[in-house]
Amino acid sequence: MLETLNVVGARMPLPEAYEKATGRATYCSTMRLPGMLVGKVLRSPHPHARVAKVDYSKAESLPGVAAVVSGQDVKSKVYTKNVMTYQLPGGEIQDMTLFGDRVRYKGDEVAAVAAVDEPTARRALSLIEVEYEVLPAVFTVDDAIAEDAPVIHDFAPDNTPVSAVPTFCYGDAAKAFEESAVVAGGWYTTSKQIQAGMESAACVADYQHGKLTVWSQSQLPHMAKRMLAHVLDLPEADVRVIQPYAGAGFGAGCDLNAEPIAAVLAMKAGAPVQVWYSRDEDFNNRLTREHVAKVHMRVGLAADGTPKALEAHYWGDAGSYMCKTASGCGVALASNITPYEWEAMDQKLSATYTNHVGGGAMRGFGGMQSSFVRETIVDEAIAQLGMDPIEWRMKHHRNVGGLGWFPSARITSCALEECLTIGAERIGWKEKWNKPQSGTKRRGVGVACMAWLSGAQPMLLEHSNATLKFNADGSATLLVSPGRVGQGVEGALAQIAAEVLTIPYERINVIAGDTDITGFDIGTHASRGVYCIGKAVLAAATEAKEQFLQRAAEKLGLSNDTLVLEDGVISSTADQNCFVTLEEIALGLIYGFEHDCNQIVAHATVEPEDFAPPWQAGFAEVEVDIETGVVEVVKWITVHDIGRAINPSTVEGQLEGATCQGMGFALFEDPVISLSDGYMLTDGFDKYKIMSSVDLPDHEAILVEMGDPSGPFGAKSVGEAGLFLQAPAIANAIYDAVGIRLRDLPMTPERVLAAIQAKEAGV
Amino acid sequence: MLYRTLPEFDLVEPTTLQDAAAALASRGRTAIMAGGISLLDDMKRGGADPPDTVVTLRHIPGLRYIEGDRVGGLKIGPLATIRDVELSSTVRDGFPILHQAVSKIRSVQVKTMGTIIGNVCVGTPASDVLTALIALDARLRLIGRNSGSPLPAISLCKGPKLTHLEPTDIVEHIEIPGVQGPSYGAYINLTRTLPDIAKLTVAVNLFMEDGVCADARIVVGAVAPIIFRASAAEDSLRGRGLDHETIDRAAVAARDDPTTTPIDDIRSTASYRRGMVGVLVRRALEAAATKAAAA
Repeated sequence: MLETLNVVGARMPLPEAYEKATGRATYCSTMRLPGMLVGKVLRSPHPHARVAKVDYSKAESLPGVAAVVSGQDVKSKVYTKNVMTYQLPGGEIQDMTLFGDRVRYKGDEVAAVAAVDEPTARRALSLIEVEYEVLPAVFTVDDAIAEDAPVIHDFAPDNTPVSAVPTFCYGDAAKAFEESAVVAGGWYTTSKQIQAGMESAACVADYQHGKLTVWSQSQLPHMAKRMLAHVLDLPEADVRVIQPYAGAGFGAGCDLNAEPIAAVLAMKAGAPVQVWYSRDEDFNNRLTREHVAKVHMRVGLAADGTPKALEAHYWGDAGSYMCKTASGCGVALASNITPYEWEAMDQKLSATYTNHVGGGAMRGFGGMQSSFVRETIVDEAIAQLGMDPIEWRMKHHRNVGGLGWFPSARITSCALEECLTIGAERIGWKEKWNKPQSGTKRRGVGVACMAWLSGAQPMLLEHSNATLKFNADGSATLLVSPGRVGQGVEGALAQIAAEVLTIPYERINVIAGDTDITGFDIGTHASRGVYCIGKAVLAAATEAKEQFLQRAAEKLGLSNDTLVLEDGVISSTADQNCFVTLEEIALGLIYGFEHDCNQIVAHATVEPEDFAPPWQAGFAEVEVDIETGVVEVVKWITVHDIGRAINPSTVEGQLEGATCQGMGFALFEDPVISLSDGYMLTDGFDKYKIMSSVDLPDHEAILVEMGDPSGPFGAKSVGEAGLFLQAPAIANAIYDAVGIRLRDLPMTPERVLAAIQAKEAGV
Repeated sequence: MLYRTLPEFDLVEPTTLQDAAAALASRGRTAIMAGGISLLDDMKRGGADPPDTVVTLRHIPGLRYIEGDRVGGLKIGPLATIRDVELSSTVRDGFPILHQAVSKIRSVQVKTMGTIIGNVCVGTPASDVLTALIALDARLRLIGRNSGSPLPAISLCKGPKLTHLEPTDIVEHIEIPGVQGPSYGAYINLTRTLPDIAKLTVAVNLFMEDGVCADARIVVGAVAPIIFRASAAEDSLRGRGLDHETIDRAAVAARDDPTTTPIDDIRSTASYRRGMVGVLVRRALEAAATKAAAA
């Protein structure tokens, strides 16, 4: 059992809750600056073409138009909207050129205008004359790798710049397969899910006195700053990225949208410019989930169930630009390492260009696809051995000290067995699993497991800075830089600081989202916020506490180690009447006339060494209608190894929201891309359905808190964790109900029924 | 600001139906608005020929009504919302097919703003409401037209979102004829998510005499350009008891009806829809038969 704390572990309201609930919160789309112009983007009507000529003279002379820009106005820098590229030596593939002479999907950027209002901007777009030399285009990986396929990027003549690259391999897989009693596997496909934030892509840029300020939805503001400096050829010092609240996240803020365009418009117009995508524009041009389009996987188990080998080839459909497709496949492969004790792993990845919108990042980056494929294949192999899927997982998961995701990482804690035990009890596993079913509606239960990460260290740079400045009244300002995507991390960070300093939560004022104010931080991705930034906040708060104790010791004439801090009061352990409050110390250090003014400012920078995997078991009970293929989820249970919940309400909220996205991915979310021009046919929420409150089945999120030795107060991550297991657990429950194995997501009634009919026909 | 915005138009707010009719007749490209759910959405999407005048019925008193009973028949006024119909005990008790259909519409916002007549007049082949109304033999009474004979709901549409209504037409009310003898019905649909537009709609209404099906209405939506009655299936039921073989035969007849011509689209596939016509018609008939047996 973890010790009980005061502020950490309490269900505190989020600092931003009142602002957001009362409509006072500011977003990129609601920002209004004096003289702000409307920016609109001219997009290619062709999925693949050479841009022979752009003439915008007529648009420029339209009254109300402040600026028009195209390729001739920008330096031809190769870049990528995947801002993480700019932290890596060598980086990932950069294959974009702002307003380049080649367009590679229907919607690619050709030019842009800034005008006094939207109708004028739209009129101006229609006056831009563009000559295209249309090129043949391809829309699927299979077509793109065909012999005579058109070349989408000249540096990749086979359209596959990443081709069967071995990734995270160890052991002798061929031998391990030979020694396996059962081998299961096959080809799988997964969907290019949309992040579906409420706010479509929006940004504002302003260029004044030689400095560029960009208000962005980016989850990675410091990385966005670096990328903008690169593409615009500006010194980093002259670029400032501010993140107001973002009405979209779920990974959509990991890559930039129109920020570079807004910036060049603002620089030319000399006035602030807002670019805000319409909904269909957002669906068609915002980078989607990393698209691990095809997966081939095999696993082998020994007769006694021992995991022998896992072999996989992940094939990403990059769309028109690589962005995060290859790294998404890489993370997907890495996430296969931790859950089970394979004797050997042999994994590789490929990524192929096609002519539709590229893949960025979505919550559950790569792990979604892997957990679906791995957990259903493992389930298949376990069934061939006649074993109980829960017992197998109990026995064969990796444990503390075992292999982490990345070569030097080790598992620091694991409460998977507790998760499995609790979930099995709640779902009624013993009574319900493997029971013969008859009739039209058949029930089944399924389980799946995963181990995720709390930041992508040591593979990626994940260091964080935190600064605490104390005011004269003893309250503090906490400067940090997570992405502000509504995940609630700012409140959790305040709780960590308040716990250390023994002051009320409300007295920590979090300032975030401004690269000129906050220290460097990667931002929010890879479920890193509470763990990585939390470690920095913990260190800064501990440093501040030491400074207070030092001052108190001087004031009271005692030594540090005879003092104790409780409820904002430092007192002598020997004499309770000998005390001083933090408030008195803070006041004296700012407004004292003792010639020792020295505001307490504590700063910490922390680079985490461990990846602190949160473990999880997901349980589904389903009812399958064998005549319609409709799958009703009767019950969903997530049991999550959180280490320690800094704010249980936020953790549960994260898990429940993720359950919606996970079920959408599992059952119906599927962008339909036209095979004639690559355009997204599901370009609005009337066509692309996400789960609504009336669709959400009975569900529970249960937290297991056993602490992680490396996490702040034992905390591990939850940001992405809640949406991995719906697809595999539901698929396994469908198998339990009707005996079919589904290999394509989403598991629509159309696919379920086809599989049932194929089984009946003995196919 | 950068959301889809409405084009400019004149808004006319008459206080009588006569004034509304006059406004519709005297202006250029006009459109009539009740709840506005479909109209405003279409206008925001910038259709080819947006109206320059919108005549709203919302300021005309006395149009929001649901009157009558099962035996005497039902009248639904132009401003009665879908939510009004869902909450009406008259509809729930006397016209359960309609109640079931409107209950399948899961967006409370749409139900609260949208009217029954507005929904019907859009003419979508996937309308839950129109499918149920055809099964109930509903008719549309138009102002100034067909004063003697109202337009049967089954004859309203000529294609997807295409109706026989003129821009100047106002539906004064929808009437559902009263039923003397016993009748039993059911409404079923299939959707991707509950608030989504249906990928298939089915309504059945069986009129029983001495344990035998005297007449039947089997209505299928979203598998043809218009919602239609599966007449061969209906014929196969007449004069028969509702045993499993008869029901199965009717379901197959509906599935194989030449009018059943589904398409592949973002919501489903043609082959799935065709198969489901058989399943849903059978289930709807079984539900009706169960009620008949219990009566």
